[in-house]
Amino acid sequence: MAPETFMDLIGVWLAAVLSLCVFSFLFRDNVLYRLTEAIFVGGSVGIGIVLTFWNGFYPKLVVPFQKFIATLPAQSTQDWVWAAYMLLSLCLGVLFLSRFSRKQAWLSRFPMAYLIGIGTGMGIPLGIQTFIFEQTKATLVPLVVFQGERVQWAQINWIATLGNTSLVVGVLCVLYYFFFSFKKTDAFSRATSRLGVAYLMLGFGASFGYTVMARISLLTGRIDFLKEDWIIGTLRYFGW
Amino acid sequence: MSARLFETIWRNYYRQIIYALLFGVILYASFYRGKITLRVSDMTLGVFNAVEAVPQQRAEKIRTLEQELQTLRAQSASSTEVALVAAKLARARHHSNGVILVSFDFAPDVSAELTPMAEAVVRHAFARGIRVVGIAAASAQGAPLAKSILENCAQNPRGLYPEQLNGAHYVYLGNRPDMFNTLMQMGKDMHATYETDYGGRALADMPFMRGVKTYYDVDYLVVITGYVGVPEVWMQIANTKYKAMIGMGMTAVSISGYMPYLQSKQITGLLAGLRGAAEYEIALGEPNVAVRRMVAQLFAHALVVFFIVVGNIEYFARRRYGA
Repeated sequence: MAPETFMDLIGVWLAAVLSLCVFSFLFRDNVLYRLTEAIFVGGSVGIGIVLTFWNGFYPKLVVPFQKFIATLPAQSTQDWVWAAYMLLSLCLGVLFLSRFSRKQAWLSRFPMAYLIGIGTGMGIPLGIQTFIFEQTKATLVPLVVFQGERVQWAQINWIATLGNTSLVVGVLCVLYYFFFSFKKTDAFSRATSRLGVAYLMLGFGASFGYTVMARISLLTGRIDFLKEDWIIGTLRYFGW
Repeated sequence: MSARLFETIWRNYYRQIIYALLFGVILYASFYRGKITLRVSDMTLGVFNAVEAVPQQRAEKIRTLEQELQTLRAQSASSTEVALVAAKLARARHHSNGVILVSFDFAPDVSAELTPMAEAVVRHAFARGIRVVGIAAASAQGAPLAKSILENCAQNPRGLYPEQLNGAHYVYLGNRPDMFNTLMQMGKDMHATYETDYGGRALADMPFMRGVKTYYDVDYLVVITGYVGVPEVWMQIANTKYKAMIGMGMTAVSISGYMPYLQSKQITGLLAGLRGAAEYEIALGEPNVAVRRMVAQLFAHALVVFFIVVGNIEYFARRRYGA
């Protein structure tokens, strides 16, 4: 976006200079790159902390407690239960800070245990359903696909058949490759494992291709910013 | 320049030379005004068609709820049951063209890839009169970026739709800490989860939000993310638990890991990085920044392929003729 106000212009220039500092690493490691890296990490963490406080801690704990205290003592039992629950949560959260003391660090195990317990309890059933049942179901496909109702050679959909067969063969071969309970010395095991490796290589190749595309997309975006927003934007701002 | 001098320069500065060439090629491509042809893949169409079908889906949902309500009344069902279905029907009628929820789960570091994608999806929804609920479930740092994307789409309609208003045509709820619990709570009551929108307005006071309470009131969910692990959380909660229909848009670097979910139909479609965004723009009939950047992508890929070929020739030549 081209700068419209003077503050926008300063922002664009700051971003452009920092981008060039990062690019300077391509020549060799230098102090400008390290400075920019430190600014990026510090800025990200700082923004994260501030936003977490104002989006979570403040509206979910501070504001309700302020309201609760302001209306004391006319509270229902439900309000008191809520307050006790929130206080307990706050105490558990504060116990995380005990990691800073060597002697009291063991206290942080309580909130950790609570989080792991809750996370596991909620995550395992959903995880098994999403990643095991659904995926297994999607692998159980017919090896020969017919276009119509009739089971005839002429009715075979060869592309779908090839796709389904290669899917099932690939899954079995890759699983077999990662089966380390016995030595794979016989011809069948070696052939199956090799086919499994070939499938893995195809997968890695596709990932690598997409990685190159992703990195170049980011570079394109940055160069686009330097050209459009910084150089052309600045010229336009000054009426050229 | 002698061959020896060239070899010395190449050996000492090959990294810098390659990067300079890449930089130069992309810069040149940004001035290139030729057209490129892109085929819209089935992965992209999976998301596009799902958004396209939202108004029709909403009409069907309203019809189904009306029939359900009639049946319950005819059977003299309990007042609680009738009230529940009546409330669902009222919410469904509130946004008769349907609602999509877009989760902008990315920070500025991958904005170059994902912002064009997010813009294309939001513009598509606005162009079809579909209401948009925006959130930034996974990224506190990305929350302001998501707001600017929505505002940009709303205020610069490019002739596709009238200017869209915050609170009337779309709402932006921002980020809340702890993604897992946030998504879980949204399945029960979004109003209790978020309480206010990003600007601090209470959701209870917003007419828009009278039509959106849970995932049930959202016709389609688009998750645009740059983080590995985030799609899994969405699938576990929104899809597996609450049966919401999901489409994903991801950075190209992580796309191949999520293709199995397309095969298993846990997601309807997948937008693959900048290419996915460009395909979406073409499907929408509104080529924009992603299509323009794909030209640079094409040139840069050609350069990469050229260097791979040259590197291989050199490798085999050295093996055959020695150093």
